[in-house]
Order: sequence, then structure tokens, then C-alpha cells
Amino acid sequence: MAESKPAQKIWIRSNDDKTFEIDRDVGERSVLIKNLLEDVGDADLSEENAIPIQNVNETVLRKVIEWCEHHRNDPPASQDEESDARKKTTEIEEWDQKFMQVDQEMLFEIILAANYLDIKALLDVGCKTVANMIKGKSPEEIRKTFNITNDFSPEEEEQIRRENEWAEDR
Amino acid sequence: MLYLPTEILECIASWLDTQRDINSLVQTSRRFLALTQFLYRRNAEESGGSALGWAAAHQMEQTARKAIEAGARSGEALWICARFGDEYMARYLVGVEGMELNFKDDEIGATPLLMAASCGNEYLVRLLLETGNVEVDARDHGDRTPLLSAAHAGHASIVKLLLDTGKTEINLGGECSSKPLQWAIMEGHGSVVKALLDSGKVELDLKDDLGRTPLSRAAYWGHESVVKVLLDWGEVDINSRDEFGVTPLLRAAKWGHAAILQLLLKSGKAKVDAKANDGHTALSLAAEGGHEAIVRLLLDWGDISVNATDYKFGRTALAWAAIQGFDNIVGLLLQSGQADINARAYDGSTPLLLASRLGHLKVVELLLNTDYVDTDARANDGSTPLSLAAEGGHDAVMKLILNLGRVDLLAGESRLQSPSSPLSPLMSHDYDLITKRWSHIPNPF
Repeated sequence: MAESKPAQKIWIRSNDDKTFEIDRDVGERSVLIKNLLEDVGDADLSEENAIPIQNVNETVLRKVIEWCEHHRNDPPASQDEESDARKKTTEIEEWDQKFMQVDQEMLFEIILAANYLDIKALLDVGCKTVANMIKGKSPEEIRKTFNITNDFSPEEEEQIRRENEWAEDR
Repeated sequence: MLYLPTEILECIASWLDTQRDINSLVQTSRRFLALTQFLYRRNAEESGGSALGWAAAHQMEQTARKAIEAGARSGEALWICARFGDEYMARYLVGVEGMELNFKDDEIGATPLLMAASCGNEYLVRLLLETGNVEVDARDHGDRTPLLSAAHAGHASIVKLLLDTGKTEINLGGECSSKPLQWAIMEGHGSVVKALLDSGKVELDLKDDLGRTPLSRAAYWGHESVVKVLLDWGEVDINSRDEFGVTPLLRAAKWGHAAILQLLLKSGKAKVDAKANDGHTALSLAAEGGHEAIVRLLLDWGDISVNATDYKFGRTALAWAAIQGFDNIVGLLLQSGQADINARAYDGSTPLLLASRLGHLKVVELLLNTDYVDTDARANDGSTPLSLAAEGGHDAVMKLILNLGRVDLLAGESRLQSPSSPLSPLMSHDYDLITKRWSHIPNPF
């Protein structure tokens, strides 16, 4: 075991001006934050000097931090197995499933935040969750699920259906 | 969901297991059309670009373009195009850089060129050859080349295109035969045969393993157009004999191909009396086979030995027709006035004896109606027409013979009374007529 020393703190600030104090390793789940920290000397870290997270509001940022804290000890995904392993499992671990039991707006906000903060694992969990809501559904059922309006003309709809007909048994 | 950036939509789509699910998503609204490329890419990566093949089969240009953009290059699409595609699709696909022009399918092992050649898709054959990058002689699992397939299917113009490349082997099938030529002959494709001859590379009188020339094979299969092409070509040995000594004329006669026989006769070079190794002539084969039209043609031809006999039995054409019971042919031969009505075979049998033995009533009748028939002719074993008819139980034939009133009933006596041939066959039949006429000879029992 590595010797235990008190966790280093960092501060991040949501776009609606809420500052969070978090452990550095929690923050470093985000590649964006990790890269920013590399450019900042330890001495410059302070609550006043909190890292601005421009695209994320307080509510969403709180959720994201919650996820990062839970997953702070996850081994980093190795680069080469990424593509293969990703294809294999669309299963989501139980804690994450519960974590993602939020309304759709929040779900998409989390996905956007994960994308912005560059938290690959969280982005995947979010996308998997959405994918699971799509699987096996017809276009009309998908529209219902996500409250999407059909903005195709009947002719366009028919044309696309014809062009992509090959995909029906794939 | 609509406001998610495309990269995130793609990330979501990447977690969909099936292309069908992605397709459903694409069709929900305009926003998701952005995933079309992703869908086609997935197809190119996971399914070998099956969308392209589908597009070729359904002539869906837009689908084909999208699949190509997504990287699909499977020659399967060209292969399918050979069968179902239109010219536009063919031109588009052949022009795509990196297309697998020499793709082979798993089942048949055919390239697009082979497929196009056998389906008669001349347009595609032309396009493929123009690329200069196709294997002209690519063989399928059955060892068929495009040339062979086109020849077999009868696509003469494609055969010409393939021959013009100078890169195709015409004498497939070993030294002694040209398979493309043989297959075209078998299927009766005269124009293909002509194209192959025009190439100057087939030897017309090369014989197959049974010693048969192309002309002989054509005479067998009965394809008039092919025989015409071969005869017009001129350099054929019209009287070539196969290993049974059978000439093209004999084969046409045997198998009843009258039109071909006529062509051969008209050529003026066919030996009309040619004999096979067993001594059969065209006339005897046609008589035995019951080919009336051919017998008629040969008799009308005139200069023919009607009474030629075979070497095994010594039978004439009339004898063979009598054996088979072909009264129409017996009639023709009798009408000719040339047939020896009492010709004796090696066993002494005459046509009447043969027909009586086998019970061919009409033939017997025809023979009996002639002036010179020997009603009491005896075979070497002593049997007579009457005794043979009696032995065979041919009642009607017996009646006919007895009705003549000029049969020497004692002629067959020695045979009738021999232990091996008792009168029993006669007695077992209840004929007033027979018993009345028989009454003057001693009852053997």
C-alpha cells in the first residue's frame, strides 16, 4: 500500500457560481480538469481561484462529482482494449443504473457534462443508458420515448425507409 | 435529445447492437439523419458492406453511394449486379476506386465476370474487361471459366468479347477437346460455335475420348444450327468414325434427327452406306429405331444399299424393322421395291419368321400381302412362321397365316413333334379354325 497522506483538495466552480471543494483524485477523473491542473502550480490552488466549469450548472456538477467520488478508485481504462471491450458489454453495473435513474433532461445534461469534462466512463454509462432505451424499438416508439416530433414529410420518410431497408435484418 | 451534438449521438448509436436499431433511430427525425453515415460505416465494418450488395440487387443508387462513401468495396455487389443490376449501377460500381473486381462468392466461387458471362450481362462484361484489371480466366469451384459459362449459356457476343482479350484458354479440358466448343454444341448454340471457330484456335476434327468429332457430337445432340455452322465451315471430316465406327450420319440416323441427316446428305460428301464396326448402316439404325422420316429420306436419296446386313446377326434393315414391329417402316421398305423380302440372317430367319415369332401382327400382314414372301421359310432350326407364332401364342398371327390357305402345315412338323416343342402350345388354344385345318394330320397324342 502506498503511504497514506491527506488528500489534496481542489476547487471547481459551476457556471452558476457554485464552488465545490473536492479531492484532487476525484477531480482527475475528468481529463479536462486533470490537464488544467497540470498547468497550475500547487500553490495557486485555492477556493478563490476555483477552476471554472463553464458548461455545467450546480445541479449537474453535483451529480457528476457524486459519480466521480464513487468511481475514484476505478482502474483507468487501457487504450487498446477500449474498442473491443466497449463492444462486448452494454451492461451497466448496479450502482450506475441507480445513479442514472433521473429524468431524461438530467440524463442528457450528465452526458453533455461528461463529454465536456472528458469523463469517458461516465459518458459511456450515460450513452449506454440511452441506447438501452432505444433497443428493439420502432422509429415511432423511439419518438414516443423521447418526445420527438416527426419532422419528415411522408415522402421523405418513405424514401429513407426504402434506402435503408437493407438494415432491417441486420 | 435533439440538442445532443452528433459525436454524442454516435456514441449512443455505438452502444446499439444491431444496425436495425440504428436505422430506427435514423428514421425518427431529421436530426438523426446525421447518423446515416455511422449506420453505413457500421455495415461496412461488421457486415462486409452488405448494404452495397443490397443496393445493387435493388438498383438503389442512393444506398450504393452511401455505402461506398462509408468504405464498402465488396465485389459481392458487382457479382449481384451481374445478375440483377442495371447498367447505371454496373458503371458506377466498376468505376469505384478500390472495388474488389475479382471477388469470388463462397458458394460457387464465381467472379463478377464469370457471373456476368453466364447471365448474359454483356454490358458488365464489357465494363469489367475495359478495366484491364479482371482475371479473364478466373475459375469457379466447378472449374468453369467465364468463357465456358458464356459458351454453355449461349451468349455468343460475350464469347467474342472474351476471345478478343486474347487472355482466355479456349481449349480447356485437355489436348483432345475444347470444352467451350463441346458445351456450345451440346446446348445447340450455333452462334457460339461460330464465334469459337472464328477465333481460329479450335481444331475442328479433334476427337474426344470416344473418338467423336464436334460434328459427330452435334449430330448426336440433334442441334441443326450447330451442324449447319460446322458444315458451312467446310474443313470438317464429314465421315469421321468414332471408336465404334459410327459416323455423324449414322448417329443422326440412330437418334432420329432427320433435319441433320438431310443437311449431311445435302452436303454431298456423306457416305450414305457407311457401316459402323458392327455392320449397321444409317438405314438399319433408323429402321431399328423406328425413325420413319429418316428411312424415308434415305430411301428417297436413292443410291443406297437397302439390303446391307450387320455383322453380328446378318440382318437387313427390313429384318430390324420387323423385329421391332415398326409396320410403317416395313411398309416403306417394301414400297421401295428394293428390300429383299426373304433375306435370311445368319440363323436362317427371314423378316416374316422374326415378325411371327414376336407376334407383330401388322408387320406379318404387310409381309404376307406381298407376292414373293416365302410363307414356309425355315430357319436353321427348322422353325416356320406358323410354328413360331404357335410357340409364342400369337393367335392372331396364326390365323393370318392359316387363312392364306397356302401354308404347308407339314413344313414345321418335325419341329412341332420334337420332344422339346410338343404341339401343346397349339392345342392349348381353342381354335375351330386351326383344328379344322389340322384335322388331316395324325394326332400326335
